[in-house]
Amino acid sequence: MKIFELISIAFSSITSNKMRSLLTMLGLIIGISSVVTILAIGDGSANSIEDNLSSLGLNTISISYERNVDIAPNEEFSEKDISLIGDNFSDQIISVYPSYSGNGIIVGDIDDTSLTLNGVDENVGVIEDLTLLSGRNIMSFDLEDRRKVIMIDDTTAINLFGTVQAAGEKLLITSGRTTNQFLIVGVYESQEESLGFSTSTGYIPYTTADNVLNKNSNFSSITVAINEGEDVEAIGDDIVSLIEQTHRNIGEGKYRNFSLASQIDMVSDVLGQITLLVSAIAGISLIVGGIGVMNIMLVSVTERTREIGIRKALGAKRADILIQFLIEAVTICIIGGLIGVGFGAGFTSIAENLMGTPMSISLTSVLLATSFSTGIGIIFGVYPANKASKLDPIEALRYE
Amino acid sequence: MIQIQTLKKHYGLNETLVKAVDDIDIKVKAGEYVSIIGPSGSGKSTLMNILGCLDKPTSGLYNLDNNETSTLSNNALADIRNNKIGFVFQSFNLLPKLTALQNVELPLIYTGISKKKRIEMAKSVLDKVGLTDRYDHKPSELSGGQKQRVAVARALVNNPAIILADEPTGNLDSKSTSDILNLFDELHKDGATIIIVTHEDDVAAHTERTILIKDGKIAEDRRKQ
Repeated sequence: MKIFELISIAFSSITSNKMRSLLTMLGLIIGISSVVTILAIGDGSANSIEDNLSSLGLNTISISYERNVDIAPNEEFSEKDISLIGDNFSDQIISVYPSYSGNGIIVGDIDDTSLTLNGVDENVGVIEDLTLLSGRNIMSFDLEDRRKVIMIDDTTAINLFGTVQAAGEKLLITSGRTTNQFLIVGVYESQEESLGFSTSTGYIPYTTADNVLNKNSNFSSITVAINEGEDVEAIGDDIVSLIEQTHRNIGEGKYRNFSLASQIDMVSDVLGQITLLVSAIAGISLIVGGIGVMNIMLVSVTERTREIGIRKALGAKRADILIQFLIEAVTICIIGGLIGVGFGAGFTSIAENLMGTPMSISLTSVLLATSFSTGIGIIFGVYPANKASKLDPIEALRYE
Repeated sequence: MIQIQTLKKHYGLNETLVKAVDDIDIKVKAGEYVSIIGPSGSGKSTLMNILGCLDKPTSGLYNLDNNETSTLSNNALADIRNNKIGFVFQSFNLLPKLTALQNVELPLIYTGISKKKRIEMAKSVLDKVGLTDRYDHKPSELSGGQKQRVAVARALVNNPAIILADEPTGNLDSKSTSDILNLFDELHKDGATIIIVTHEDDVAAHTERTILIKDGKIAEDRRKQ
């Protein structure tokens, strides 16, 4: 119960010196607001980069040859590898197929339009996270029969036919020296432009792609689509070792796996470290602010020597005085911290508008800021408070 | 009420040894009205500090209201100051930012009494010293005599065993001085135990017993008939 009295004493002493208290808090306000803002910007950028990258397909691994390595004929990828991966990882993966892709040109009446032709299988809708606007996905019989069917994006459909209802229409596509007629089976919604890529992609059965792109069943990489929630990197490594086993070149490092997931992890790691570093630098201002608090508390103890003497004469114990001054220091720091969080929220929304990336201050950073400022209050308040509590009442009463 | 035996307070060592209080025995009964007088440097302030439990004696015994204080810890002494002693100082020693009422409440905060009860008790003692209309005035808005009356109210609020007044009229004009002394007289009539330290004979004349201190020893202890 006495603690509430001591808190109210501390409050009235802070409010009776408003200007001084505010200036004391300033260091903490600056420190906390910059740390909070930096953390929010860091989180926001990391999230937006992750969003951008994940729209490119987070759950696919591409297995390919290591660069600058000689690959003997018996070390090349074959259909056997595909079926082996399919058999061994049937629980973890959705699809596995050879990667065929190439450029195609849609032969038009007036202008030719270029697009990327991507060989896919019947799971294209899930793997590429497509939203169908009309028609259907590629299906297994398209693959078996090597049908010349294609899924195009809505922008291309509208450019060519003026509508997204283009399923059933036919397209002439030139690739290399050959031109083939394709049946449009589906139109999908093109994803938002991510990281500046905005080429249109046509999805065709990979079996068809083999023919159309003249690959003669030679492929230099394998696409593996992983189930949601699996550890993409671990599976990638497992597949590489499986392939090494079958080609009897374990440990020679001839194959590698590449996934966006691992890239995202790397980017987030780097971004996280940068954020931490900058916050640490901003955190230095918190220490400076803390020293400011200590300084003012020491002045306050000297100024109020007589008050301390009177309180002790009237029955205040050492602990009462200690707690009174400690609460005062902590209160200054917490108020400063909260004001700092407020400013941080303001700066964050300014940064949000400038950078056009959604960001918000997290509860964690608010809790971190408040507990940090409480800590500063205690650390830098203990010395002056202890000094006050040790004053001899007789000396203190005599103090002018 | 108060029993002091062979009380000594020495400062320094060997050649620089100062015997501020040297072998003093005093007994004060409940309800006594005592003044301690003596020239400056006589040791009366040191004696006062020990009586007020602000200082500890070098040796000797000091029993206050059945508490042997010479062996108590600092915290226990703080409790004694809080519960048993009411101080009145020469320079009032009110907290300038608090109102009269809040100043009087102060000792009760450290006793741990609830806010509501505190205000009630503080108002009642302020009424007793005649400051009913000054509850919310700050010390700067009060005259010297009124300030000292607030201080007396603060000394009374915990219903102490003794009231210790250290030159209570030293900073007051003659009118306020007689006001305050009359207030002490009244308190005495109501049964309070009062010890006033002073160097003014007029003040000492109000009391029933006067103890003269010289060079740390009792030079005279006379009672009014």
